[in-house]
Amino acid sequence: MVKVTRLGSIKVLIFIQLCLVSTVQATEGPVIPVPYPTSQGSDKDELGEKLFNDPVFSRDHSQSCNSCHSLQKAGTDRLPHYIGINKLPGTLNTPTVLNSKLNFRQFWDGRAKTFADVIDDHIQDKTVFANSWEKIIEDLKKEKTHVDSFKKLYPTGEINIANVKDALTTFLNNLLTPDSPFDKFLGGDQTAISDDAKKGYELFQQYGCITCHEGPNFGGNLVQKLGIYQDYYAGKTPLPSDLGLYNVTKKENDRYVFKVPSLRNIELTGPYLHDGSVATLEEMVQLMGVYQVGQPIPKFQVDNIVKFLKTLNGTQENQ
Amino acid sequence: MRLSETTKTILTRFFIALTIAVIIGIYYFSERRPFEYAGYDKNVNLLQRYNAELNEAVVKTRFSILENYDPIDNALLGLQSIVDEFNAAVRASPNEKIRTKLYALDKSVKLKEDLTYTFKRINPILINAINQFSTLMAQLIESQTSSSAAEAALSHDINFQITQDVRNDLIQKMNDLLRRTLIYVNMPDEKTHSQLLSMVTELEKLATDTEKNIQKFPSLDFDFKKLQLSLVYSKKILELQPQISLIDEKLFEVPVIANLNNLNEAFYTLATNHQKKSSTYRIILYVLVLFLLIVLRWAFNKLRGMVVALNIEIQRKNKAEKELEEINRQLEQRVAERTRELSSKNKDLNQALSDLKDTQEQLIIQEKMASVGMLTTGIAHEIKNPLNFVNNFSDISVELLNELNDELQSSKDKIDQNALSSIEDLITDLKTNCEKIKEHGERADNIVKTMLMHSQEAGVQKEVFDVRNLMNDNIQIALESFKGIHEKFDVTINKNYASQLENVLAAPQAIGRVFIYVLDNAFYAMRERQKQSVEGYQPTLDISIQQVDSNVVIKVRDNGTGIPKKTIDKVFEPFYTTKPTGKGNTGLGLSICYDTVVKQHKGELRVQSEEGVYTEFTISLPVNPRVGQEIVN
Repeated sequence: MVKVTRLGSIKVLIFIQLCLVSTVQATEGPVIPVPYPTSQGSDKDELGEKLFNDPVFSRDHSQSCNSCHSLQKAGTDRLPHYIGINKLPGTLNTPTVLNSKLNFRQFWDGRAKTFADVIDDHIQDKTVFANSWEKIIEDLKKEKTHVDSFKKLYPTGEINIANVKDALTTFLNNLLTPDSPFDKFLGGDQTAISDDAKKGYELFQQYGCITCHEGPNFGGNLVQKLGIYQDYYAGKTPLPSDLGLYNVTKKENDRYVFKVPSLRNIELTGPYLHDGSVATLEEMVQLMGVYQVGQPIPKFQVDNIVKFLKTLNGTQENQ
Repeated sequence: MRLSETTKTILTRFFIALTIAVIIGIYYFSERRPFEYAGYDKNVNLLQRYNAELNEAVVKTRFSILENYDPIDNALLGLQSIVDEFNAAVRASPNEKIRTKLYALDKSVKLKEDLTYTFKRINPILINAINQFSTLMAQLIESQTSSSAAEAALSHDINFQITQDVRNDLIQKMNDLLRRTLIYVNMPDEKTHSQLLSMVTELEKLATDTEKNIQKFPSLDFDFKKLQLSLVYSKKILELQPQISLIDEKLFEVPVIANLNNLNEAFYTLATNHQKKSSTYRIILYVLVLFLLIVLRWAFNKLRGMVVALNIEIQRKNKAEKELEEINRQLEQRVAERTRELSSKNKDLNQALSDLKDTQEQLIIQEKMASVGMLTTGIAHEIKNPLNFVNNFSDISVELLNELNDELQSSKDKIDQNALSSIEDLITDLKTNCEKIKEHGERADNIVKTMLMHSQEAGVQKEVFDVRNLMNDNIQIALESFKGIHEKFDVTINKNYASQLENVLAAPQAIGRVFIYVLDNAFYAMRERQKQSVEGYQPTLDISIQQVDSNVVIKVRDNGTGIPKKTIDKVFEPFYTTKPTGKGNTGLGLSICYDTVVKQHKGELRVQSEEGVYTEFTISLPVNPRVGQEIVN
């Protein structure tokens, strides 16, 4: 609901307007708890986990998926920029794989619709795996346990692109972190989070952060320009990777447009922003206040908001 | 063209098989083969639902009823998945018309997705801007209104009126802007947009001017920063509102439903065609099935006719077979009858022949016997007289010799002793001679007497008696006399008499003699055998008396030495004997028996024997012999 309620006439006006638009239904809140994984621990899930940790995907067998999306580090590498094949750092920050199922698109620029697209992208990416499916399949077939697993789990019984993608997708779909203190709070447990955090959540709504960081993943289901109220790159020289969606669509309007990242487990997935240029949550909240919601947020409110954000760490099964 | 029965049958079968195959084929094409886009209507409905859900979610998020974008994403995913399903179906069974329609739908869905993408980008900012703007504006207006009320008390101030005017102006303008903005965001139009723009510019100018000359209004406590900020939001609203209106417009103009309807129509046309085709096939199917039924019915009838005909034929054959069997049977019966008759006749003939032979033999024997009998009787008569002389005179001679001896004794002193002695010796010799003559003369007399018995039958009186009693008496007599001569003879006698027996009319003495002769012979034979036989031999005599027709048949069977085959014919001949002569054996016993039974009583006397095993005499006596007497006499 609209939070501005002090002026009765306006409230009534808006309310009437809303009533006119559609038959009034129970309004749905902006955020939803993270769902529980459905097939965690299944044979396919375990096979997916093995593949996730298998360095066979990189051309020189130096890195696995887990090298950057480390499950021990909340699905990221906690580095400003990812380090791909040949130990060369990229220009983007590794987004977490945790709860990535809840994102409507993958990658900062949202160019991948499904995990399968992500896997294809990473394998072909010269800075990530720089590999080919032919070689990966061939290498995977050398491992007897893989051959047996695939034979057991898939009707075709063979190691092929579709089956490998399916196993990995199953694993990724199960990488959910439910039962965060905040989700418990949403579920009615008033003691789950501190009063400061509650205040922080209020401010989070009041400043309108929640208009973009919404849904079960506190974001991840829309794209937004970095620098709505002020030009983020004014006086800076943007790298190609800073152009965001523009790299995909080549539309001027999509310049500096990125997927709104999820705030789930945000405390654990720093540094922040697409380029990993922001080290702390406090800085990040202030930055967001200026560039994205149009007004600087006072320090004491930032602290509350950060306290709230730290209640979003869920329970991770695979570590 | 005439076809053979077999060809016709094969053709019929082939025809039926062909019809069935065609029926199955058509059935498959019409019933089994599903419509290639089966279930399309369900997907069309689903797509419609997802589209409605998307529209609803967009509207709801647009007006903050819904504060997250998940429903939009889900609806979009749903839309895309349905389109993907359609695509897969078309790839599986390509159809140009459907493909074109589907392409249009796919494109419209993608367009809608893109628009939603943009919508999601603008809408949060717009909503936040409206929220921030209205919050800030409301705060400003409220604080200024309360300030105005508070300052009213200080009306003596020179600057009061000016300050109040400025404040009122600001409040007025802010109020105006807020209200009109809120109306605008709900009912956006070009005119209001430009008016609002000028209002914002005006307010901005006023605020700037007022801030510059703030020293003129010392009591004006106004947060210019807040106003600037709210104006920033206002500007943002004015910037984004047209965009979002445009997107709204476009979003709802996207011809998803129109394209879907086109696709649906195309599907429907195909489905209708499919159904029409199916219906046509089904009608053909029904006709063919009906036809097949008729053919089968016809074939059945034909078969039934054939079966009936076959049945009749079988029955006819069976009947003929039975008849033939009957004839055969009768024929066999007749042959058997004839054979039987023939064999019976043959037997009769044989019987007759043997009878004839028997009779002939009998006749011969009778003749022989008769002549022998007459001869013996004659001889006996002739010998009897001289024999009487011999006997009588030998008798007398003995008496004379006795007298001579007496005389001699009385005058023995007178005679020389030597002469006396020799005379005595001579007398003794003569006496002995005479006695020998008498002895042998008596013997001859006996023989002659026996011989005479042949002709003595007439003198024996016939009476009615029980043969069984007679037999028993004679067994006793015969056994005793035999035992008297031969000691140590033990015989087992088995009697088998019929309980019902007619008495016979016969001469009991004669018959009794016959029994004695026969029994004596049996005992003799058995004793002979006992002498030569080894240990364990038990003489056994079986005697049976039975009534056969009007005859009483007596059988005497011994297990003695038996009679050799070559001599069996001679046993009834007179003077034939195997016993040592001179011991009263005349060889006439059986001969007399024969005469007695056959001649006197018109019975039969037969003998059967096997050497070393048995001898059996059969005496058959007629119960009441009417004839006989005359023949014999």
